[in-house]
Amino acid sequence: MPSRRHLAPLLAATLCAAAALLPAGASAGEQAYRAVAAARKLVASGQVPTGTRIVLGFKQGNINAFLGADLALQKEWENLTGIVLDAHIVPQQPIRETLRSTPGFDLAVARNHEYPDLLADGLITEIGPLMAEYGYRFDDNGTDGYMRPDLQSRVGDHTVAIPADGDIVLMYLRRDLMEDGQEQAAFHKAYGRPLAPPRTWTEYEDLVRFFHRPSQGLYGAAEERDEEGAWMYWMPRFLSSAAPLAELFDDQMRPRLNTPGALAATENYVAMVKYAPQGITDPGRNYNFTLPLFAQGKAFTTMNTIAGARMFNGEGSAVRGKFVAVPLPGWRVDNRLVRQSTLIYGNNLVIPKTARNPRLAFLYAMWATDPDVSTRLIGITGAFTDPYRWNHVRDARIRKIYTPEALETFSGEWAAAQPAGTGLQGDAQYLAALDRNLTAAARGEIGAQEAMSRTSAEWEQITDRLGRARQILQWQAFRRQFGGRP
Amino acid sequence: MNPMRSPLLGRGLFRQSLLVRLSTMFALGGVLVATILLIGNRVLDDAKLRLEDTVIRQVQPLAATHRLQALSNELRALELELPSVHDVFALPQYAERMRSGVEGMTQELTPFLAALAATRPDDARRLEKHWLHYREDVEEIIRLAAAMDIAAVESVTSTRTRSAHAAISTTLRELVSTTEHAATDAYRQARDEQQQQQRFFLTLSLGGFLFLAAVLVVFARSLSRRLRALRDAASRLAAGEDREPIAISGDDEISDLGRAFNTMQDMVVSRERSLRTAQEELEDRVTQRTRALAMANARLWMLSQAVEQNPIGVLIANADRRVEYANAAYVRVTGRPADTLLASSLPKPADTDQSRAVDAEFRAALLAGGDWDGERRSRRPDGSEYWEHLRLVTMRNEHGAPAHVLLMREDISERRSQEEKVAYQAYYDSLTALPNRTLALDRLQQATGRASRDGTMCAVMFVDLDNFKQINDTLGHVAGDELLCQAATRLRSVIRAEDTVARLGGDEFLIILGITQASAADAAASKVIQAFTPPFQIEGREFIASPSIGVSLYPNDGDEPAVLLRNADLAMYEAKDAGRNTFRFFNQQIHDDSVARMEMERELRGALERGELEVHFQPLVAARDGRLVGAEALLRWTHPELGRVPPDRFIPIAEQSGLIVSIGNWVLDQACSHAAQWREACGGEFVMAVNVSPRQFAHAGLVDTIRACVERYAIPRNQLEIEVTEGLLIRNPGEVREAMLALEAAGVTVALDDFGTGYSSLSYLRAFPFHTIKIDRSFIRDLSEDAEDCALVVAAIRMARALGLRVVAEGVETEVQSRFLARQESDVLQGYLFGPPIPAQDFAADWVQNPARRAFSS
Repeated sequence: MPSRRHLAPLLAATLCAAAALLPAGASAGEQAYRAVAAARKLVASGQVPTGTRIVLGFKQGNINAFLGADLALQKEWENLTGIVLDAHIVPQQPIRETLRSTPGFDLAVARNHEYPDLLADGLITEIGPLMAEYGYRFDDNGTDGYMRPDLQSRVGDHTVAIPADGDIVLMYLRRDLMEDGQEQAAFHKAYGRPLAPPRTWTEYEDLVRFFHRPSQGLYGAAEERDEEGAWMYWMPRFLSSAAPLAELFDDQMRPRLNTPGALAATENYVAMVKYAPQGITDPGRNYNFTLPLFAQGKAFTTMNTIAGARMFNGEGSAVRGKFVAVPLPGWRVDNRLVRQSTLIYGNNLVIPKTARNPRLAFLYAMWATDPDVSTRLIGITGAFTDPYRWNHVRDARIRKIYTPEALETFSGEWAAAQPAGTGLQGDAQYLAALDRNLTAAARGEIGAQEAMSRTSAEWEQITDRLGRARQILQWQAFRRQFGGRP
Repeated sequence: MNPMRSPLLGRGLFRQSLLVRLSTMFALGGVLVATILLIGNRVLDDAKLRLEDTVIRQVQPLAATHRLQALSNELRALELELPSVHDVFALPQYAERMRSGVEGMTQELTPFLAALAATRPDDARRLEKHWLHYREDVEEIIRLAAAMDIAAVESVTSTRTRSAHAAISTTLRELVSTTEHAATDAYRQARDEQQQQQRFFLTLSLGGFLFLAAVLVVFARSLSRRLRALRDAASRLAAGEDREPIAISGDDEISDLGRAFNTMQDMVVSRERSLRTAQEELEDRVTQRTRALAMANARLWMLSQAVEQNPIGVLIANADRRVEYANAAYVRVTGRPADTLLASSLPKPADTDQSRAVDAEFRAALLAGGDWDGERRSRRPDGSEYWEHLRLVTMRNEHGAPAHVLLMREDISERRSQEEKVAYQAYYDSLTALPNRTLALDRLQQATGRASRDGTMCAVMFVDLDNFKQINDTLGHVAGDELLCQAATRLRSVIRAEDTVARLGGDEFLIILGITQASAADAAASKVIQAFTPPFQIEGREFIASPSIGVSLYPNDGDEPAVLLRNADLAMYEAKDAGRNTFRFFNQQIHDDSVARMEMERELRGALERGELEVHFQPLVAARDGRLVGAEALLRWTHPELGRVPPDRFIPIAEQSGLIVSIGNWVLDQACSHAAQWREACGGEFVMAVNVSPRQFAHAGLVDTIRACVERYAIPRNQLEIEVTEGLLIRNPGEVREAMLALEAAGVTVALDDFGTGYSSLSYLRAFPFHTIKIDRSFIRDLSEDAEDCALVVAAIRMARALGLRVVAEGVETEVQSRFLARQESDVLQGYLFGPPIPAQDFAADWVQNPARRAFSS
C-alpha cells in the first residue's frame, strides 16, 4: 500500500497516463488532470503565488462531499497544486442571502432554481468564458457525462454553475409492507386493484390512506409540508396535470394556476397532511423531520432525492432492506398517463462575483467534479452529495451505498425531469408566494382554490413589478429551451 | 660529499639523538592525552545515556497520557457537537468521525495500558474500566445518530458519557501528576551522578597535563642552552668578530650542528676574501653601465619629448592592441582621452557613409598588422568636426614580430579646407556661386550618361539675358553683377534641386534638366521666362531683363555635350531672332541654317584666294553741293554657285569665324590702294571709309596694320576713315579708346556707324575720339513720312554739330531726303540717290574719271 505521502505523486502520474491514453473529450481523469495542470501553470508563471487560498462556502453536510473523509481530497488537491483550500460552513439559508452578506467566497454551493436570481442580481460569475478558455464542456454522454447538464448549469444562454449534485425527486415506499401478503389482500379488497407502487397521484393517495395507522405508530406519508420548499412537492403534481406538461404562465405571463389541473395538484398536495404526523406543517419541519420518520419505520412513504436511499440504507436505519424507490406518479390526461418530475435542492458549484480567485476556484471545481474524483467523493461514507454523472450509478461502492434498485429508478427519472423553479428572474419571489399560499392551504387556513387564486394575484404583481415585457421575453426563451415547459 | 651529513653517517641509528628524544617525549605525551580523553569520553557517555534513559522513561508515559487525553477530549467534543447538527444529512459525517475517534483511542490505549500494568497495575485496571464504559456510550451515540434519533443522542451525551469521560480524564490527570513527580526525582539523581563523574575526569586530566608540562620544561631548558651557544657563535660570525671554533658537547643533532658550524665558519672566512675582490670589479662595471644608462635615458627623454611635443597625435599600443601611451596632441586632435583599446580608437565619423570604407581599411590593417594611412572626417565628443590624417605603423622587434602599433593622427582640417576652396573655385562661378562652364560640362556629361542608362532624356537650355549689356553699361559692372546674381537666383528657384544651373560666362547661363519627355523642357523654359517677368531691383531702380533660351535635347539633338551645347546656343540665337524673351527648341531649320553657315564659312575661308571677294565703293557726296568727297569701301562676295552672297549673310560668319581679320586687312589694303589711285583725280581730297568690325579691333595688330597701310599708300591725314559700330565700344572701351587715339595720331579718323540704331549714348561720343557720325539709313528712309524720325535726325545733326563732329547720312534715296538733310546742315550724304556700291573700275569710270558727276552727283 502506498503511503499517504506517496499518494499525491502517484495520483498525478496516474492522471497523466490517463490523459495521454484516453481520447479527447470528457473522459475519466482528464478533466482533473487538465485542472491540475492549469493550476500549476498559473503558479509556475507567477500569476498565482504558491499557497494562495481558495475560500469555499459550503453547507454543513458538504464538507466531506467536497473535501473527502478526513479531508483526504483537500490534502490531495493541495499537494498537487500548492493551492490551499479554506472551507467555511455557511448558514442553511438561500445562498443569495449568504453571498450578499458575506463577500469573499471563491466558490459556493447553490440550488438549481436559485441561478436566475443570482445571475440577475450580479452575485455569481458566468463561467462560460472559463470553460472555453480551458477547453471544458458539460458533456452528457452515457459513459461518464453529466446527467442533464442543461438543467443544472445554465440560465438561458449563460453557463453559471458546475453540476455537483443530482437532486431529482423520488418517491420511497415501504417495500416490506407492499410485499406483505395480508396487506396485499386487504388492499385489493378495499380498492379493487393489486397493491403496487402508485401510477397516479390518486392511487398514491389511496395507498397513503390505506397505510395510515397512527395508532400503530405508522403514518401514511412523511412528505414535507414546510413552507420553505413547499413548491418542490407541489410542482411534480402540477407539471403532470396537463399533456404534455402543464405550464405556470401563458404567453403573456398570466399565471395558469386556476386551471383544473393546478387545482387537482394543490388538493392532492393538501390532502397528504391528514396522513402525516401532527405538526407536519409547523415551520422547520423539513426533511430533518420527515426522513428520520421514514428511516425509523414510522411512515409508509416519503419523497426526497436519491440521498434518501443513502440514508435509509444506512446502518442505523430501521428500514434498511425494507424500502423501495419508485418513480413519481402522474395524472391521467386524455387517457394517457402524464408523469413529470423536477429538480429540487441541488448543491451545485457557483463562483461568486466577489471571488478573489475565480480562476482557481473554477479549476478546483472542475477537478472535484471529474468523473474519477467525484466518484471517490460520492463513494465515501458521510458525504452529502448525490450522483450526478452516469458513471456514478455504475460504481460498485456507490451502488452499495444507495442500493442498485434505487439507482435504477434514479437513472430513469431523469427522462421526466424538468428544471427547478420557474426559471425566471424573480424566481425567489414567485416561489415564496406559492410556498406561502400552499402552506396556508395545507394548514387549512384557506382552500386550494383560494391558494391558487392568491398565488395568481401575487404573481401578477411580481411580474408587473419586474417588468412584464422583460419577463415575457425570459419566459419565451425558457419555453424554447425546454420544449413548452414548465 | 656534503660535509654537513658526514657526522650523521658515521654514527649508529639508536644513539640518543634529538629526534629520538623528541619522538619519545611526544609519544608519551600523546599516550597520556589519549588515555585521558578515552576515560573522559567514556565517563561522559555513561552519564549522558543514564540521563537520557531517565528522561525517556519518564517522558514517554507523559506524552502517551497527553495523547490519550487529547483523543478523549476530541471524542467528547464530537459527541457534544452532534445534537446541534441541524441537517440530518450531516449526521453520518459526524458518526463516521466518532467511529474513527474510537478506533484511534483504542489503538493508543492498548499499549499504554500494557506498559502501565507493569508499574501501576491498579491504575491500569481503573483506566481500562473507565474507557470500556465510555466506549460503549459513544458507540450507542453512533448508533443513535445513524438512526437519526438526535433527542436520544442528546440524552446520552448529557448524562452517561459526561461521567465516563470525566472518570477517564481524572485518571489520566492523576497518572500525569504521578509520572511527573517520578520523573523529577529520577532526573535529579541522574544529574548528580553525571556531575560526580565530571569532577573525577577533570582531576585526572589536570594531573596528566601537569606531568607532561614538567617533562617538557626540563627538556626545553637543556635544548635552549646549547642552541644559545650556537646562536652566539653565529652572531659573532655575522658581525665579523671573534671567529674561534665553538666547543662541541654531546652526541646528537645539535653537536652535529656545532661541528658543521665550525666548518662553515672556515669557509665563510675564505669566501669573504674572494667576494671582496669580486665586489670591487663589479662596482667598476656598475659605474660604466650607469653612465651608459644615463646617456640612453637622456636620449630616450629627448625622443619622448619629441613625441610628447609633437603636434601630431601619437598613440602607442602593445601587440594585444592595448593602448600604452598617447601624447597630449592625440587628446587635442581627437578631443577625448585615449581609448583603452586601439580598435575602439576611431571616433564617431562625421559622415558614416563616407567613412565606412576608410574605417574598414583601418580595421583590416589593424587586424593584418600592416601599415596604413588614410584620411577621414571625424567628430569630436563636443560635436565639432574635423579632417584627420591617420597613419597606422606596426613597430616590430628584433625578430620581426609585431611589438607595438603606432597610430598617428593629424588634424588636416585647414589643408582640406584650402583644397575644397580651390576645388570650389575651379568648378564654381565666384559671382553667382553657380557651377561654371567646366563643372557644367561635366554635369552635362553625367546627365547624358544617366539618360542613356535610364532610357530617358536630357534637356540643355542656353539662356542669354537680352538686356544685360544695356544695364551693365548704364549702371556699371557692380550693377551688372547684381543683375547676374539675381538672375541666377531666379533660375535656381524654378529648377529642381537635382537639375543644374550653371553660368557659362557673361550673361550666359546653362540649364541641364533630366526629363522623360520633351514637353517637360517646354514647361521648364516657360517657367524660366515667367520667372524673369518681374522687374529686377538694382540700386533702387527697376530693370527688365528678359531671357532668350535655346533648348536642345539629348539624344534627339546630339550625343555629345559639346554638340548639345552648340545646338542649344544656335537655338538661343533663334530665340533672339524671334524677338527675344522667348525660347526656341533646336530644330531642323536651325540645324540647316547652322550647316549652311558652316558651309558658307568653309566656302568663305578660300574665297579670298579664289578671288571671289571684291571691294565695291559707294560714293560719299557733300550735302551742301553734291560734290564727290569720298567713298565707302564695301565688301562683296560672288560665289560660283551661290552667286552674289548678301553682306549681311557672310559678314557675320566672317566675324564669328575670325576670317574678318584677314579679309578686313585685305579690304583695307584694297580701299587704301584705290584711294591712293583716285585721290589725284579728285583734287587731292578723297576720303575712303572702311568698316572695321569689333573682331578686327580685338585683334592686336589692327592699329599697326592701318598705320602700315596709311604709310604704304601715303594716305593723307583725315582721308582714311575707319567706321565702327557701337557694339565695339561696349566690349572693351578702354582698349578701343586707346586704339582710336592711336589712329587719330596716325591721321586716321573714326566714324560711328549706324548711329541711332544702338544705344547712341552721348557719353560715347564724348568719351571716344570720333570725328564722324553716320546716321543710320533707317532714320533717313522714313524722313518724309515720320515726323519723329525727322526730329531725331535733326537732333542728331545738332548734337554732332555741337560736338564738332561731321555728319554722314546713310541711305539717301530721294531728292526730298537729300534737300532736307542738306538744309539741316548734314555734311555728307550716301545712298542710292547718288549711286550704289560698285566695283572699283566702275567707280573709277563712273565717278573718278567723270568730272561732271564728281562735281555734282545728282
